[in-house]
Amino acid sequence: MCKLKRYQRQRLRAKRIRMLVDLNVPWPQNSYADKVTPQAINNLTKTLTTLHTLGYTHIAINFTVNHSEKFPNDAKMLNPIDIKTRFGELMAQTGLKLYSRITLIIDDPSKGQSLSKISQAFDIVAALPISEKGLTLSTTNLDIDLLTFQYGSRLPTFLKHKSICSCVNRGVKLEIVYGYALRDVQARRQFVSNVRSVIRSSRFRGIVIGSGAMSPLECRNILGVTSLIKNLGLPSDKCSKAMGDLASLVLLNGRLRNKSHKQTIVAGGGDEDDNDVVNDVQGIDDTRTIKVVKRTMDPEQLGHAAKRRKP
Amino acid sequence: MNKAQTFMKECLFTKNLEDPEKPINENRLQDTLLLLPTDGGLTSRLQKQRKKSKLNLNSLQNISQLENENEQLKKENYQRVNKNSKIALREFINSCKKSTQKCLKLAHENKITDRKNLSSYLEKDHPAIYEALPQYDGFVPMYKELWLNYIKELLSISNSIKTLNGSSALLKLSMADYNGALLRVTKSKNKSLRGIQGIVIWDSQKFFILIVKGHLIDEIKCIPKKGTVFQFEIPLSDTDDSALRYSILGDRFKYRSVDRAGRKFKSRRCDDMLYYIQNQ
Repeated sequence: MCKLKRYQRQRLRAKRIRMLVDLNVPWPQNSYADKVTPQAINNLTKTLTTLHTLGYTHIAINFTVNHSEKFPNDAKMLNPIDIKTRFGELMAQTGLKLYSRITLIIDDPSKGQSLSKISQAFDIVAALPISEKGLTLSTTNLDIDLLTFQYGSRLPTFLKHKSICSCVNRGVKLEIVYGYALRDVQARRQFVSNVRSVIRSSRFRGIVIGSGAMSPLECRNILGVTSLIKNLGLPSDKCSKAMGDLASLVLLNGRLRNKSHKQTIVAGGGDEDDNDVVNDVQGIDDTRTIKVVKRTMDPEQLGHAAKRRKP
Repeated sequence: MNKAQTFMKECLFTKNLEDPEKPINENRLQDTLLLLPTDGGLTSRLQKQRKKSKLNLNSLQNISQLENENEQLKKENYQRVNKNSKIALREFINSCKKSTQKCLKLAHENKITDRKNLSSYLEKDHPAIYEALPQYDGFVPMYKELWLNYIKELLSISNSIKTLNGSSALLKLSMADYNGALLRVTKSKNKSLRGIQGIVIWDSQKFFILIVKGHLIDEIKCIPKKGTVFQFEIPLSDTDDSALRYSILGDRFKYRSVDRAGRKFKSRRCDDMLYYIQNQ
């Protein structure tokens, strides 16, 4: 009994420390004109709960659109995912943290519009270049958090060390989506060669792994993913970092863009548990970026935390 | 070739140009950029000087006035004063630290565990140490009366926050002055710093110098901005318990308050801030 309790406590502690992040769960909509069926939502919820049981703590729901498509003018219409009303219950039940992500398919950079307005509505902004021009634009001067590719088909060009590494140095991470390896033989073949070239061109740096799971069957836990990607040439310590530390850095970068002024002053935060910009999903007012709390600081308090807690 | 072009060549170009075949000189169309030596900004400097040295009636009348004003504004040995103030601050901090150490030692030797007893004991037996101790209570009005009013005025908060614009408030806060603010360290690479709370007495480039209220005596602590996240609260009203909470990312805040005021901040890659999101 005692042993069991200790084991549980250890597991809890391990859980609290570990952040396991999946940055890519597709949203069942490919453009703003598409309709969302309740069935698709149901399927998505199932995927999310499966990922939760596999140990994931932070999940981003990915909405993929073409960059040249017309975006709605109303700022409230920009984000169709609406996490709070649709998945608020799920978050409360399981303790999952859900984020919204937009992936822009970039073909001809001249047709697209500025990112600043779009990025305000989403937590993470990713780019998916499908032409050489798009790749050069997104590696050099687009203000994004993630760079991803269509792993099921050929890459737009040969990836060069120089452009990819400079992009990683800028703070943009590269994403590998392992969902493509689980679908059909043709996609898997492309996936292997594409992932190898991404790993080679980035020199193992700044790689993040996402699932891209359309159904609960395509989810894998950290061990499964590590064994798959390790086979493709990424060292296993980088694999676990790719799903933990680096992926959470992407979340931090994305959250800081909207919730802070150029990463200096952040709304919210605090010394209670789970209270930084990334983990504090509910508390910060999204439209006004302020956080109202009950007052905890007083000049009459003692200066040290341990002494402060004593009555 | 149509007729108009031949006409232009024969009748117009032959009169005006050296080579009627090529109306545009090809050297002009070189696509490379030529770098020419400059005079090092000499001409522009000379022009400026010439403008200044021009005399007119107005400038002549104002000269005597201006000189008077300048003399009034000018402080004698400004540089030395500035340098001395730095030294004085450093000495103050060091003497405070020394005296607190001595004081704690005395308290330990005489087994005093009460604040009142300690202060009365020090006042009687070691007046030199007692006078050198920093007093937290002396700085509380700086927070309560000065800083809170300043920050409320800056964000234009008056009882209700319905009109407050979050993003512009963040912008203003990034340029605000934090001398006198009540800060608390929430996250840090150095675990022993976490939870320290105090009033800022000086906001230097790389440190926040806080005065911290202790159980026995008050201390001065220099907390590095690097690798630390600070939190502060702005109470909305005196009667209500609600407050606005913000945190400062020390890694991106490493500027003196003077330099920060006109600064344009830039987002950088945030790989160094991993400690912020990891629950320690």
